Amino acid sequence: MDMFQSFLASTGFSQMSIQNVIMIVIGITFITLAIAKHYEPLLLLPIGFGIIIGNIPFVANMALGVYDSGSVLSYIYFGVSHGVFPPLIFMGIGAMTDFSYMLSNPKLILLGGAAQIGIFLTIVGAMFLGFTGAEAGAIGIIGGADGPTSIFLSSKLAPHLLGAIAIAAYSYMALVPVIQPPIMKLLTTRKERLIKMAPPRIVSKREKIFFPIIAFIVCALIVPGALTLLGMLFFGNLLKESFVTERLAETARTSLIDIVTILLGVSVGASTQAIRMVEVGGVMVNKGFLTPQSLMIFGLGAFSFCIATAGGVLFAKFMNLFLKEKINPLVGAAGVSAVPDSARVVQMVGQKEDPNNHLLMHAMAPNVAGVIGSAIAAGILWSVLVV
Amino acid sequence: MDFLQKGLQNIVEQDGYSLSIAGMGIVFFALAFIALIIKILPFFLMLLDKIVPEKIVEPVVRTRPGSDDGAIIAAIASAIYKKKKQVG
Repeated sequence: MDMFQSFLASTGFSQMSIQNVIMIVIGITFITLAIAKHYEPLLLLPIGFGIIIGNIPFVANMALGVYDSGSVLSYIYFGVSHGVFPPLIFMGIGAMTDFSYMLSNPKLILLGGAAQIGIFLTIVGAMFLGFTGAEAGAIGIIGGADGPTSIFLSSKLAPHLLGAIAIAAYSYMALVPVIQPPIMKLLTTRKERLIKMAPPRIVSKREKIFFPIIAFIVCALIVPGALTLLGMLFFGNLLKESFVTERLAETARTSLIDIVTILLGVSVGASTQAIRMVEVGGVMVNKGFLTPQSLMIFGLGAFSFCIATAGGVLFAKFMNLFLKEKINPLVGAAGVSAVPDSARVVQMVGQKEDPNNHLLMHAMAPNVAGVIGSAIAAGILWSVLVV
Repeated sequence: MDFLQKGLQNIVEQDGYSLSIAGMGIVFFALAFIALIIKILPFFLMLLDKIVPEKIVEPVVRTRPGSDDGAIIAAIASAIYKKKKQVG
């Protein structure tokens, strides 16, 4: 009878708290959004299921959770907590990215830079709300709209906020088609949205091969902190463009990135335990997911996405003051990385005004420039804020 | 009011303003520098083309030995042939 009672006490039912239930509901919501609405299903589904895994309560001395040393999940989470997975994902992104749109119209790169204002204004906002410099840097990078970069930087600057930052970054990336269009419409006139841009020029094979090598050297010399992320991004791209390592490029952009995405998604989700009591200076402190801090991170994340979108659009309008061949300002919204979702949103909004206006290829330029820009921003913040 | 003051003071203490301005400036500078390089790259390549003309390279798709269709077909054909011979 005693054995039965101790078994009952060890079940998840007896230890379940209302906070765990809330997190499980959030996990199910993510899965529903992924399956029913097709919002970033490759990420939201593993993260959603991971959230459920992380919020099934278990007996304290059983090494099951991501934070319990020796547990299977802790080994998988190692790739997240030590920033191993993000560079591998970047290699896959590099191997699937075509930089030729950016190479054909280099002025559009500046839009990718302008959108990074979301990162830096959010840092100020986070500091205003009482976060430390390192925490603010990790939160601000959500505005880069780049999940792997957010995970990479928060693992270096504020590991205790990693779960909340990763979930916020991926949630907002999934919500790009919802967040961006109202801001784009608000900041542009119909006449501006109807601007047609000249088709991009054909880029030579040699340009495509030289670009990743030169761009990497330049970026790494300016910001060595971005070496890992940009090194893998440009290396992956060189695998693709060299034409002699097609098999490696194929693996990087398919099997490898898929495996890493699965492991990253599930373990990030599982790291969102609702309550996690940790002893800090002799006092037990809740370092779990459901804290006022997480709510603030979600608020700041939304703010940074909006500012980044607005920054890109407004800078495109500013550039138009000096350009003979005008840029469609909608393209500026693609400066927030979120490849290729934000570029697709630009295409969608542009086609609502004129079904014959194809902006996708133009939007890809600031889109990939945004990836480079957010990685550079992460490198700067890491170099400056690391304790 | 106290919250507002505390927040603004925290930004100043953490060098928030200078970090944001300098950070944004460096990102912009790095990307502008890349844009400049991309702009001059075609001219540099034109010069290079005069010295070493660009060859038209087709993608090399090397399949793994294990996924060589020809070898698999040959192996299957050989196995069928042997089996037929055994059966008579």
